[in-house]
Amino acid sequence: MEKETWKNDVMGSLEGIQRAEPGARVFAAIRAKTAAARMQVVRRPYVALVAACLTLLAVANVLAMREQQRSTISPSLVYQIDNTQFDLYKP
Amino acid sequence: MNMNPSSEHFELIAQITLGSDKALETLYAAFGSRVYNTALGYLQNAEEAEEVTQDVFVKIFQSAARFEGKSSVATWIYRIAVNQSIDRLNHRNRQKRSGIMVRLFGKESGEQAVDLPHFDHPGVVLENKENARILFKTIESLPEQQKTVFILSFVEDLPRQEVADVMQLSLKAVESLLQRAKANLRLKLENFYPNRRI
Repeated sequence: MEKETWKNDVMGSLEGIQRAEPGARVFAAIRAKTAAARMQVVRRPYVALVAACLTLLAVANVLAMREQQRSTISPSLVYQIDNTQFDLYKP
Repeated sequence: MNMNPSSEHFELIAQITLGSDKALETLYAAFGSRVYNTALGYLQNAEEAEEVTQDVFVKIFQSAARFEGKSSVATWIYRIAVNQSIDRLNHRNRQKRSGIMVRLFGKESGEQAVDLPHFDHPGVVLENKENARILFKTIESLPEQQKTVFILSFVEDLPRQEVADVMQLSLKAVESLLQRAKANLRLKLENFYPNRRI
């Protein structure tokens, strides 16, 4: 009986409880964190832009190198052309 | 023109979406203590509850644009507070388990187990302090949903329907969980009764 009364008292011990208040510095910490989060959001497009520029540059380089390779005339081909096209004394 | 609190809260969320610090501050003034008190109920540690309060408002700031308005702003904020508190508790329990493993295997390094001292809620009436301390110790051992329903109902004093909305359960389910929580607490209190006599 005494135990049950005690249990009832414990179970009812939150009656009239007041809401606890956070410390005064909590909102300042929230503001600092949201400012940091905002900076990250601002920075993200710049990072994407730089990455896009670098990718574009790399692709342009590869294309330019390929084009250069394709348009280069090998020395043996030059020699061949010289021999066949400019032999003026051949009938 | 006067706005009712609910539409005022929706307006604040809309302004936060646009990046208004002032709106966030107003929302904090309205809900800061509710979030902190809820987190304190779970964590029973003022410092950790303040950290969770910070996390909740940063989350609100970051996800305001995704708030669809299907529930009230208060319900949405309570839901975030409950989830963040449970995440923090799970993190603490993982630390505790790794601490036990460290002790078992005799490693020198590693995180220490977190053993909380007795917790005194600052809002408890003076003559109930000792009993409330025992009750909070017992709440710790409740299963997650029973703990949530008990904290929202008795520490945060929310109406049952709002508890149901926060937990996305029916009113009947909340009432059933609350009955089970109370029965469990009474059962667990058996372990504390003899200590009180010493």
